[in-house]
Amino acid sequence: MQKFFLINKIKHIDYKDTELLKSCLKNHGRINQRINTGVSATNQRKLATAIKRARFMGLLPYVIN
Amino acid sequence: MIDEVIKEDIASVSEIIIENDFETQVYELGFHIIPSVEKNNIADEIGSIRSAIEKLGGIFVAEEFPKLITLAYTMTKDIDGKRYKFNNAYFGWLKFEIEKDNIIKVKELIDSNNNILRFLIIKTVRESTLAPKDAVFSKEGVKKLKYNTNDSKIFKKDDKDKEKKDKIKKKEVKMSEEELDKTIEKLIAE
Repeated sequence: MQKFFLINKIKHIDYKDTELLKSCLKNHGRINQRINTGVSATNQRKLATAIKRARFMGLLPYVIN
Repeated sequence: MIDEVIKEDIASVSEIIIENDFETQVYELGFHIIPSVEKNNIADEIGSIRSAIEKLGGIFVAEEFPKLITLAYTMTKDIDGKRYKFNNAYFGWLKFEIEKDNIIKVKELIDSNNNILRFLIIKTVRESTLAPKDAVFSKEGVKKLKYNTNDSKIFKKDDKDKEKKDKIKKKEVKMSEEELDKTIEKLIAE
């Protein structure tokens, strides 16, 4: 995942990139830990912020049943 | 002479302070328009938001026209004392540069608009923050990348396991058929 950000030179993580954010969610909609996403601490924080924004805007669910 | 120099310094400092007062920032406004608004009227709705921002001195950087999307969960909004539930909405966004002091006025304006179900104002940058379209992202791709990186702890564990397995295989290969026969013969002789 970290390599994905490095290869594509992604500096900012957008809350509208739902496909990208979905891959960082667990089966029930919780955010994956850093050990599972494999990203740096900075990018993990950015990911978490983007996911929370997407949830607020109804682009991602809070809980997947 | 000294007084003149001091006056010049004060003048330069005051200029800097004035510049800081009108400091601008790029913001992004994401919003949901309620689905009861007709498709033809959405352009007018955005036009009113745009004109309001322009009046406050906003300069537009980028935008996306609202599209009807299915929401991830049911949202509610109180309109004239009644609570309405929505499962769909027109989602769009505007990116603009505006003075930091004026963004509160923009927030108040959108807050008072009954046709906007929900909105989000965030600080952003001029450049596009969306991931490039050619960067295909899949869960399988992530797994591949994850196991190829030397930094991940999971990969290190796998590495050790692989090394152990290779060592065991090498030991097994060392015994040739001739050696095996000799050992069997020795055992029979005993």
